Amino acid sequence: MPPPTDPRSDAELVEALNGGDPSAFDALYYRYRDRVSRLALRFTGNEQDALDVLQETFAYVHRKFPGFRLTSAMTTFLYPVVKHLSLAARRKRMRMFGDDLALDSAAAGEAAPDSAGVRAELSAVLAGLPLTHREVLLLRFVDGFSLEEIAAVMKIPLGTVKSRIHNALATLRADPRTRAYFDP
Amino acid sequence: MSRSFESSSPLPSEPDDAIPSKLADGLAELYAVPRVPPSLDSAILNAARAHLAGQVHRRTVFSRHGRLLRWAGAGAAAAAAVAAVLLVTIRPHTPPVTPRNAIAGDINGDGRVDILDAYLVARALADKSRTAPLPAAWDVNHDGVVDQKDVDWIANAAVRVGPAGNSKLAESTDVFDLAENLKSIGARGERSKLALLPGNAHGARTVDVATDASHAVSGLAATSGGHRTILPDAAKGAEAP
Repeated sequence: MPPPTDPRSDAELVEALNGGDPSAFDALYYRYRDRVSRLALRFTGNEQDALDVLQETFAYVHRKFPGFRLTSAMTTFLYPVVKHLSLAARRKRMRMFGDDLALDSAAAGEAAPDSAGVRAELSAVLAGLPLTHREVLLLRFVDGFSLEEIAAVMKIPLGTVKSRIHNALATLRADPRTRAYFDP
Repeated sequence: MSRSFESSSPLPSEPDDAIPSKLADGLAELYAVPRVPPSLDSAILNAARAHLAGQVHRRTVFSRHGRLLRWAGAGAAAAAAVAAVLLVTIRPHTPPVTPRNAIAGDINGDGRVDILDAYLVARALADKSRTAPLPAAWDVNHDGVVDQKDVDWIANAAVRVGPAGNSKLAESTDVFDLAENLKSIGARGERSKLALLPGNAHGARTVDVATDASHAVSGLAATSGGHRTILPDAAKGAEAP
């Protein structure tokens, strides 16, 4: 059961953890659990793997203590960890099932969302976006990253982040399959 | 379909910082948060608590579908606890203290400088959770810091042997074993491969054995008790002829 929302900032929680306060880890975990698991699912394309990545990510985090210094936003710290673990999990799964094409896709980035289920048109248009545009769009409007955080994790200028979001939305707006999402 | 304008188009006049709620709902549905079972929450939090408590253990955590995830912990605090138990067992009246007498390197204050003194310093250096400064008296080489050089210095002072084989050092499974091996090497007076190294004077041989002993001590100190398989390669040395 998640504890009540902890009022401490990420920096305060990190400091408390370095001081040996285990409740600080609980707070950090529940604060970022959903974000990490959703990101992991997006990259792995598989719920089982996503939950394993969740576990491995927070194992990586707790092994950093004591002595960890948070030099950026927690999201900026977690993103490459999740991405790396997720892609490794996907490659492993693809190797097991011998899907070479999917392996190449795994190396490129995210897994394709379920295109046969709900929101099929939206999924299809998103899949048609350049990978970098899609990633920026989803980091902003699905994962809730700030523009600055996106710039930091993708190591691109802030202006490029804004430009990619603009172009991605312009594509969605222009495509007849997704134009309705922009109707008032 | 739009072209990519990244390199040539001007920045948008207004940042696209909001999207229509229909689109937001569509994205949320497409990229839903996977359900995390409470058992997985507990497993993750328990593993973290165990690590933070400084336990030295191997814990097997079952993932959601029974896959094993092995956690190898080598917590410094637990390793220190093991060493402390061993120290109390063998030397019940000599806890690690700042030496009160004039013997440099006598870390535990038992009146002599031996490999256990080197181990105590190495152990303290390896303890990453330590926040208190190390005693100034442990700076035996007087360079202003307590570091590996002080471990080397003490190990060198502890090793006063003649021609000796160093192969036994690499087989030491803990610091007491190492101390006994050093003694037995000296007692047997074996010829050492070190003696065959060109240009080695007697002093150089002693330093080599001390270096190996120091490496062995540091390797043991950095682990949860000094298992043979994790001694550093530098301590494995050469076989005695």
